[in-house]
Amino acid sequence: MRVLISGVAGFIGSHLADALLSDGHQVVGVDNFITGDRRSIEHLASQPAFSLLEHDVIDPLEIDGKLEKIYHLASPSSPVAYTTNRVLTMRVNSQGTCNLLDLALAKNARLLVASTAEVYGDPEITPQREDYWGKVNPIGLNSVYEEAKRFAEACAMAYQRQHGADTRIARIFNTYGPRMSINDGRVITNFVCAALRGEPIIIFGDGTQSRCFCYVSDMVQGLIKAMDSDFHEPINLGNPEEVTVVQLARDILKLVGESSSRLTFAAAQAYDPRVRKPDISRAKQILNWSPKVPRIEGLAKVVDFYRGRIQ
Amino acid sequence: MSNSLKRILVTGGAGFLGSHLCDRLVEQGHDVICLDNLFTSQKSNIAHLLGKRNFEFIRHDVVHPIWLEVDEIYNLACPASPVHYQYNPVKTVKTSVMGAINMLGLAKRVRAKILQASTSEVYGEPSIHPQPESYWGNVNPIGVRACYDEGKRCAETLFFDYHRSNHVNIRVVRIFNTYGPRMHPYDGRVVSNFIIQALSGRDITIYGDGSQTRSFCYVDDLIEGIIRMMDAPDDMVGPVNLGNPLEFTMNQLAQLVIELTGSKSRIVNLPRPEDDPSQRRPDISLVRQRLAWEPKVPLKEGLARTIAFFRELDLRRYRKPTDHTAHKSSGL
Repeated sequence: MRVLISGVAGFIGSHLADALLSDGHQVVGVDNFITGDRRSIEHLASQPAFSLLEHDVIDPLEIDGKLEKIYHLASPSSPVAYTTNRVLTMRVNSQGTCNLLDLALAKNARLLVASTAEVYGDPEITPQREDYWGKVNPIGLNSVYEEAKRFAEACAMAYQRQHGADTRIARIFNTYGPRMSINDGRVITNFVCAALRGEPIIIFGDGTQSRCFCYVSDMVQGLIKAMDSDFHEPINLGNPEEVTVVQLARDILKLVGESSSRLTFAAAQAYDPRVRKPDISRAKQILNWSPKVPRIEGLAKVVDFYRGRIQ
Repeated sequence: MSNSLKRILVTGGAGFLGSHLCDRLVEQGHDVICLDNLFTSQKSNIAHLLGKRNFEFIRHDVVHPIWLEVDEIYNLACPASPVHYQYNPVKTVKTSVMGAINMLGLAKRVRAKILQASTSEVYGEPSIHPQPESYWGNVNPIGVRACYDEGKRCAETLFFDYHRSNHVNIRVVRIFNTYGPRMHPYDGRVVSNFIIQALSGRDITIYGDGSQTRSFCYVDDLIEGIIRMMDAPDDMVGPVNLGNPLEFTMNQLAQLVIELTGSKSRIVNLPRPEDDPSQRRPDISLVRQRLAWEPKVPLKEGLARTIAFFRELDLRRYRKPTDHTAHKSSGL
């Protein structure tokens, strides 16, 4: 099958390309390299089944030949990335989504929108189910991402209702693994890099706040299953297992081994990232999917990966 | 209000609100450029302006960029009634968001001040009444109304982005139910439905027992609010609610329409649809305080003027919506 991935040089996009190529598919990767990393896909250059189109999906795109599936993953996705690319984030999720939906219609292809747990905003219920409408400030500082992704979902539904577009929506929760950007301010990369450099691991607050993390290979399998399912409404993909920030730091220190890093506690940030925990009953029931990779195993791979990068 | 004459762009200028806005701005002597693709708007709404020296009409879709030299932009272009926006949801999402991007890009380039006509629909199915501007809303991102609700929310986000990142001088108003002459006769809104039913002597259909309430703002009041907002100090970017907080039941409205038209129509109650939109009522404290604005025209007077308009209307010139739409006779 011939599959297009927008955002192919991104963290999840590059792993998705790996998985699809190893399943024997042809992959057309699209990326504008604003937040994508060339190193994440350089190993694919020699693969005949892989082709790369350097293009910003904000502009319409034409693809020769058949196309069966489109994974729309292109978007800055960490707070650091989307707050420094505010208007671009809005545009890739609105214009970009419409352009890819137009392409999907032209090619009679199925399109999956990579949405996010951020569509739930500041949720009043935990864990979040797909039928929860979310609590989002339309004009807040994070709205660029939250509203843009909600709008991308609304676009997919509009195309589906009006033109019969074949669409899927996956709401991606916190995901981690090799090839995450070092500088995007996420807690796992921060901790791993600090531990490898022997710098203090800074924990904001008392560290008892909990987080959920899904390993990237699980996420990629979830995305593929969502794409291959017959279900067109949103599906949460994430790992509902919670871990405290302190436990995470201790796990990472242990995996790094000889590190001179110490846990350092700092005052809680005025803006604490909202805690989101997926209810994955729908994914379990409809996709027969649930995360498999244990935390320690996933973290070990991350530590190995960044050990190579940092040294 | 500034005394200098400006060159002003009104997108959606041939629509219900847009044409009244053009009237006022032309009357004030400004150079007005009316931009409209006439998708749901009517050329007849601006026919009387076409000969004026300070009025220009351009048939153009805001989904595509346009370059013009202007001082101010009122961005009103978007299908706005449920029957219209659900008829072509893809058009709706593109108009609200690409339109906002294109107009903000223009405003940035020519350093124009730009006002966005947002909507009470950004509050979705509100859990608090009345709604203050600080309320974040309760919107289903994948529902049949999402094309409009999320489109308009996304447009607000874009306005604030361009304001924060590019220092574009913005104004955002959230418009609640408005009625008056030049409403589209087939927009499926309750005021136009009742008037057309009464004038044609057909039964007036009320969904449910008629005790549900709605608030209605007369178009002249609303236009005054929009212009005051555009002329407000630069720190007053909004969003601000514009609407009439006074509530009426559907029964009161129907009675009033029958009384004013002198119709022999009967009121018929039909089962209320499950997706009947819930009540929205504006909290207008902010705009009262900052712009000294509040609605003035009483419902009876506004309705009389609207009825007079509908009496003269040649309904053959208007197209009915299709059965494709879900909220054909909803209480909006």
